[in-house]
Amino acid sequence: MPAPRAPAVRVLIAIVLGVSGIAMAAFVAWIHQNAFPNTPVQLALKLIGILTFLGAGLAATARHPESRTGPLMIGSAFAFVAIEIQAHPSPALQYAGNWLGGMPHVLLAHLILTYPTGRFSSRRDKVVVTSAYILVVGLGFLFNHFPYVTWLLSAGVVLTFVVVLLGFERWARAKGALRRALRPLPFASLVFAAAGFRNAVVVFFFVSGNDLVRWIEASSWVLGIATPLVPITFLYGFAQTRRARGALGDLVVQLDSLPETEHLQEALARALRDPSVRLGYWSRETQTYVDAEGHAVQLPHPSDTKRAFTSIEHMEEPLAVVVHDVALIGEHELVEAAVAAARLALVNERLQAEVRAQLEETRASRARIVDATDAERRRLERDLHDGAQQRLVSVSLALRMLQRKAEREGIPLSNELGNAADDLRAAIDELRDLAQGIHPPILTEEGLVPAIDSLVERAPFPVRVEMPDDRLPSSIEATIYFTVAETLTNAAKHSRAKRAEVMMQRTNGWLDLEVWDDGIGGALVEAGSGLGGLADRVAAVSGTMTVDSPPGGGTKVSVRLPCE
Amino acid sequence: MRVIIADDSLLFREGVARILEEDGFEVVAQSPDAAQVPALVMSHHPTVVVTDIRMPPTNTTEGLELALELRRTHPEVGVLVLSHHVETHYAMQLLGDDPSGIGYLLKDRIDDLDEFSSAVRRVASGGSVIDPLIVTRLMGRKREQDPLEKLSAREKEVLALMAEGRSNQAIAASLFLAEKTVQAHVANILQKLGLHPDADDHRRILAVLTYLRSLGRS
Repeated sequence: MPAPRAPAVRVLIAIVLGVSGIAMAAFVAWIHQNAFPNTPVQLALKLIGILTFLGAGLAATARHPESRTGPLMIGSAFAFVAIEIQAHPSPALQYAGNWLGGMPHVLLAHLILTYPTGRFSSRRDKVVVTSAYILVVGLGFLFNHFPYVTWLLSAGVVLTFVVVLLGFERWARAKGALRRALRPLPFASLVFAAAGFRNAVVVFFFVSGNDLVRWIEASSWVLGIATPLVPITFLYGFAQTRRARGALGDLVVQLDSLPETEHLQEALARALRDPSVRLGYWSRETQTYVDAEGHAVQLPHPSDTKRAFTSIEHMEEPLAVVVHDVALIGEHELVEAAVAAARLALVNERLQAEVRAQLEETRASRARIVDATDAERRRLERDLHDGAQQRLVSVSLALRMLQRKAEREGIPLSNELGNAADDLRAAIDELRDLAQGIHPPILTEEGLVPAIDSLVERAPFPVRVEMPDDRLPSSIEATIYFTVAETLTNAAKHSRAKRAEVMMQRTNGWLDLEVWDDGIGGALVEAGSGLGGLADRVAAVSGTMTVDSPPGGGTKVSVRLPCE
Repeated sequence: MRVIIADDSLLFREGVARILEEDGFEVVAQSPDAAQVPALVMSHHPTVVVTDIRMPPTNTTEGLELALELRRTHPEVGVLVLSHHVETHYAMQLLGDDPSGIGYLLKDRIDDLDEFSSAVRRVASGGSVIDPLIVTRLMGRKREQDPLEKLSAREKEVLALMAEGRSNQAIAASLFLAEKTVQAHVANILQKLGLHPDADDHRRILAVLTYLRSLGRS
């Protein structure tokens, strides 16, 4: 494709062509007035024919600069002058007119066999049109030297019918968008055939001396009216392809904003201009196609005369199916393009769904790990309680009874037994604290407020607590409890805090916890540290934790959890 | 004094039974869980029930619920609840609005045999027993403005013993003071803390614990 000319140059060329076309029309009108006075209707038809070709040519060139159809139509408009100057008084112009009188006809053949690109799609068509040009340009001058060159005319008639046949064939074979674009061809070919037929009849019957004036006049009328319609139908054909492309462009634009599934079906219906379009999504679970509501989408049988379907695949896996009017099978390119655009949206949608599912799965597995950890802690605490603690208490009881017996019976083991029992008592205390730290039973049994209160009772500084006394899911309660416990422990151990606050509130499905102390700050959230472990735990229940702990400015741990 | 012991550990039940019998109690029945106890109470008419807080089937607060049930059905029977962990929350639940004949002790207190026997005896005779650890926690809780600072060290000692449920006589014995002196301390304490002065021995534990618990809580 040649590089398109700059717009300014194109406009200039169009103006020059338009002005010279109009000047030419005026010239034609002048010749006509002199040669055939008092025939204004015939003149009007001629001018309409010339100006329609000129106007349509300019319009087509402006809208489709890549196509040569526009220049060919403009060329046709100028070629009509060749016929008109046959009636000019100047012998030189008459000579030229007789020579090139076939040019409009050849240009029309050129148009028919190359529309809509203006370029030949086969060598055969090119040979036919080139032959026609050679006949006219190379041999047309003979008409000035012999009354009627019958063999030359016969060749012209043969070529005319070949072009008509080829034109119909092009139309008949075309499919989809091209067929829509080629809709003008049958009409143009008919007009072209009629013009050729008329010329042949005129010439041959003049030769045989018949009087056909009335017939010639009648056919002139028909052709005079039909000819201007040819460029108009070509323009109509252009508009058809344009409309299909426009709808596809709209589809892509709509898909760009990731429509809801129902909108995708509507967008496809608009792009394909088939309101009956149904979009089915491939369901991996059921191995069938379902619509946006989850209802099964029935695929039409291949022998169905009304409905057909086009499937959309991605990575060799079904993605979706478009069930549409059977007529769209012919519009292969259009359906392909629409499906390609839809595939983009669907693949995007599926990828997003997969990422969401994976995130959800990760979140769920983290939550399961936390739940399992909590359950394990509870089990451990119970085992300690029911096993070791219980036994140790019984042993301590036995020791004390031995000690008492030793005392009463004067056996000098009393002190040793007493010391052993004291050590055991200390061990029991330690074990109790350990079990309590692993998982405080009161949290499961009574909930957050008594459990936090129990923590706060033992804190070495005053702690103000404000929280609603609701029972929450156990993973949430445990998360809150361990956050408060860890933060208060840190404050007691490292931050030299003098007081602290624990504030919790629930709003609109969120639970906000703030634990603050007035200590030295500088707390860090690090992997492996207490705060780092808390952050992981909070994230596992889809929450967020922030720690604000400027050196010397206290520490504020804020936790936000989703909580219905 | 007739005792029923409820605990899921046979070893522990037997141990408790032996000390109590040595100290003159009559152990009339033992139970490995809470569910059987009401029937045992009906048939054996105990003076006091000593029960663990965590027992089958759920191993949570069966003993606590048993105590509250016996309060309703047999208010004349004392109940002493033992627990490996003591929680103020449970103590207050147990005391309810009538602290008579109720006790709540850390299980390992049992290794002070005499103290344990005396606690069972106090509960059996309608008194109240609250574990010193709870009292320590309540009194030791840090507060921004602490009214307890208005008390002298001696007064604090007296307050702690009051909170454990001891009578003036017991406090006097424990601190080697004359009962009159204890009475004066008690009156001072109640006045300094703004508590009602004529609460009797049985009732004042509730007033004192409730007061202590309310301190420092927003």
